[in-house]
Amino acid sequence: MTDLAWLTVAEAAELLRGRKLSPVEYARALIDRIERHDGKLNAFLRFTPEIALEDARRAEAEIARGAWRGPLHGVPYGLKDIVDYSGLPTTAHSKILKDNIAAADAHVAAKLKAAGGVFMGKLSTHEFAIGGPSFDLPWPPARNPWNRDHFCGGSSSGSGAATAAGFLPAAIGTDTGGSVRSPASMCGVVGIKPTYGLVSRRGVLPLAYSLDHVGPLTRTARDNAILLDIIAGHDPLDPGSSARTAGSSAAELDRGVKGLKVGVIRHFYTRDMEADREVAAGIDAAAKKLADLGAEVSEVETAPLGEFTACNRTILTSEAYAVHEQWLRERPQDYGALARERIMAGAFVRAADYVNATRLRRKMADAFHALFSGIDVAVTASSMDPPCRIDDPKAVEYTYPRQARAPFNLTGGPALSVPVGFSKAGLPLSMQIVGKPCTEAVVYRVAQAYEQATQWVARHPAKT
Amino acid sequence: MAAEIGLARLTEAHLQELLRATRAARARRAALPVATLVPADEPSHVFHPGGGR
Repeated sequence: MTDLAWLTVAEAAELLRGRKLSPVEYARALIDRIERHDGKLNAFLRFTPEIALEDARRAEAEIARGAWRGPLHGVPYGLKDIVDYSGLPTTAHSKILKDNIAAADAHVAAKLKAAGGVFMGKLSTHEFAIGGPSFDLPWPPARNPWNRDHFCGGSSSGSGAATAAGFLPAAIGTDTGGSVRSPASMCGVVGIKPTYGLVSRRGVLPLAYSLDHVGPLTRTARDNAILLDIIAGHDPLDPGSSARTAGSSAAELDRGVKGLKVGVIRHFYTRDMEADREVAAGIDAAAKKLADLGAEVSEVETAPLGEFTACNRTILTSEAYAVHEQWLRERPQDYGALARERIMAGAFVRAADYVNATRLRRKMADAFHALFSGIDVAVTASSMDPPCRIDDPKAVEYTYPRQARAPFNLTGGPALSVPVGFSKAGLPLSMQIVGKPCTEAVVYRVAQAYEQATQWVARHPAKT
Repeated sequence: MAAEIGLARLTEAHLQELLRATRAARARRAALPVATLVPADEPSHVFHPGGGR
């Protein structure tokens, strides 16, 4: 049997349903692994082995009497610590909310509980999903399992680190300007920002209401589709929840890419911003692989990356400042420096700037989606660089804005980060596969075909 | 200016952060192609009474 740490959700589901693996044995193996190794990675902010074992025992009893709930039944997962789990603190990794106990489950947490998942704990995040990596907070930042001296991306940093380190087969993150896809990219795992409104934001601490998305991180495309199918769905109590559905994300997984039209947005990472040579080569090689697999690959043009980024950050910082203004007035000293500075960028954004950014958002989204009359998916960069050293503030400051993820928070369609290889230094490289709204199934189909042909996901960090 | 919007408890170091952040925000404003907008371009959050979408 595969080392339990590296079981995928799909593999675990088959073993658990067939009673060839006990949920309690599975949970104990991961608990032991976390206890041995997380002191070096800080993926967990609040590890809850007692809840995990209780969930595992319940799952074992239910499966034994034939009451199987689905592919997450008996499978461990974690939640980014801005997602409410009833009775536990939701701290946002901040002194401000150190003692903030959630009164109810977030909608996504309730769905994962109903699916029979085994809750392992709350995962590290950048402070309030924006301020990181930070060393001036009550808890240390998460580190990259591929090299602990390196940044693991953020803000869903613990979600990426835990999945890549074999602590969990699945974790939930959030994404407002790239924060599921950044740790997915830097930790060599799969992470999706789904269509806006597909997954409820209820019970998730907001960063920017009109840009926030909730999405899963996993080690494979199939697992990611499985998780998204569990957590997606209309929530009438989330004003941003979409009544539109995407259908099953896993519906087209194994159809291959023959005849699919793939548009590579090359100018994002060659002209608008120049990606690290290894990153660019990785994406170009991935595009060639898709062509070899039968896709029709061409280059496409959209608005410059800088315009998307400026638009995203104007909206993000304005909305985030509105969320935080009261705390910033009363207790600015209780924020970490990075969160405080990044949120205060919204303090003097004029109302006209915000409104104009939303007007541009509509135009840019319409123009971007018009591309899909000629393509099925787009491919482009996620991070422009391999993960930098976490203890080098200048390197962090340089690489932090170098990304092509923010455009798709604006345009609202699905954007999936997948591994495309490793740098010479052994650090993960990645690309994004992007679709128009509610086309998650096609995005996953392309990811699955690429993954099966390359097997980057079969490699695991050596040190954990 | 910070005090005028209620940020009266910022230290000197915080004010430097605010200054940097404001410069960054101004640079972003300069990068927005607002010259391409015409009056008919509506905001993305135009209100829907009744809450339906």
